[in-house]
Amino acid sequence: MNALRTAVLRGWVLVAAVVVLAGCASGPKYSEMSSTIPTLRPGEGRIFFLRSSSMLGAAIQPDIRLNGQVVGASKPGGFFYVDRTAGRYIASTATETEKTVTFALDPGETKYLRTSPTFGVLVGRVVIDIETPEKAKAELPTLSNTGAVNTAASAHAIAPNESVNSTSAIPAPRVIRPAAFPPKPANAISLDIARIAGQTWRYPHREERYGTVELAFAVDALEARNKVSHTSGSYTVRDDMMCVTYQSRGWLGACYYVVQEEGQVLIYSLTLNRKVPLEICSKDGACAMATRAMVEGPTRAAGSGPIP
Amino acid sequence: MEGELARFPAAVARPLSRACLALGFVALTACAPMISARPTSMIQDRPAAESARVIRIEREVPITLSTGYQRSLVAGSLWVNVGRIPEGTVYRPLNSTFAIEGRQVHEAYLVISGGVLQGFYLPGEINFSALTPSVFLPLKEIKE
Repeated sequence: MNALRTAVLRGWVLVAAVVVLAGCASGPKYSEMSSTIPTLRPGEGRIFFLRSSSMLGAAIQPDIRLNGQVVGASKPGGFFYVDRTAGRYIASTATETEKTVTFALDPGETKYLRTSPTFGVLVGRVVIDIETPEKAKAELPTLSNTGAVNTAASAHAIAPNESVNSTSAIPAPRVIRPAAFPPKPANAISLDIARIAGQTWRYPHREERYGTVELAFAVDALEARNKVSHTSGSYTVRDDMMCVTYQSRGWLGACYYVVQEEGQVLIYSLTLNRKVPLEICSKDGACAMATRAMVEGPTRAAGSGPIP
Repeated sequence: MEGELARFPAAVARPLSRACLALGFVALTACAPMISARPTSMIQDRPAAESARVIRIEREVPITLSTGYQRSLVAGSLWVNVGRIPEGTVYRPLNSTFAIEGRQVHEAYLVISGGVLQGFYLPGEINFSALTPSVFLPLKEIKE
């Protein structure tokens, strides 16, 4: 009799384990596939949805909606992302009660939304909240991509200029910095990152076939494009030297000063040892040849970069 | 109800009553009040001669929202001026996010006037949510 009870108990444990495991995210880990995440297209931002790995409420896996459209499901230990045109959004999860979060998405920006189970009145529910980039980035490597599960369903619903977990691979980033930087030029302009964020810098590519290079600066990222291709990246400003790193291997990361010579503001590439006139477009799209006032901060604070 | 509970031994009744209390709390939080907000309009454009200011919160500032939820402005957090609304200057977190919560969650920027936090600009809705009472902020301006 005891042997029968033990066998039955083992059976239930096995079933329970299968149910729980089947309910957890099982795609590739972020740490394994992050290098295949494509760069953002100009004018778009990215929204990551993530949920910690926990047995608590593991069976509750509601759909996640973005502006009313299902973009994926909340799964324990899972994440997925969508790229969307910059604008205002409302994300929601619907279980016992609908919980929503409203937010704005800027071009080149990445937002992180966390879903987490909690206790409801009658059943558990999953709530959604905005997560800080710092915490989200720390947890993402341990989570599994669940976006592929919903890609097909979402692909029919979303607009042509939107994408869900595109899997087009890109090579690893290439960071190019001179082995030794020349000293800071005396005519270097003190750069104010708060002023630069939101601007688009334009200057001619060294090769005519690539046309004009455009660097669109967000608060903590940038979008770059030329006549042939585009990519996203990040930038730092230290002691008035800006260094840009791109995600696409086809783009050459570089470090720059902005200098003023004979009344003209030039972008000076330390990597290419090249100075060319700089044009700056403001947030509202008005473009003009750069002036000192467009980029200069009133103080020469060393170490002023995108602030951690 | 007391008669029902009396049928259980004390060791069971106590956790049961605690569970009921917890259930009541959950029921209340499920019915959390909505954030009170009104439409506003933010002036984003800055004159070319005026640069965006970055401020730093010098000490942690706990905030109790009218919904009962608690929020905290982290010591050392940086906020960049992104515009103005009639209630004050609007600052968004630099390289971070901030949200306020009632029944729903709303991304929020700080609205500051005279060094006092007057409320929040909700960029996802273009609304202003007043903070009552307003809160003095220990600020340091990084750039201007």
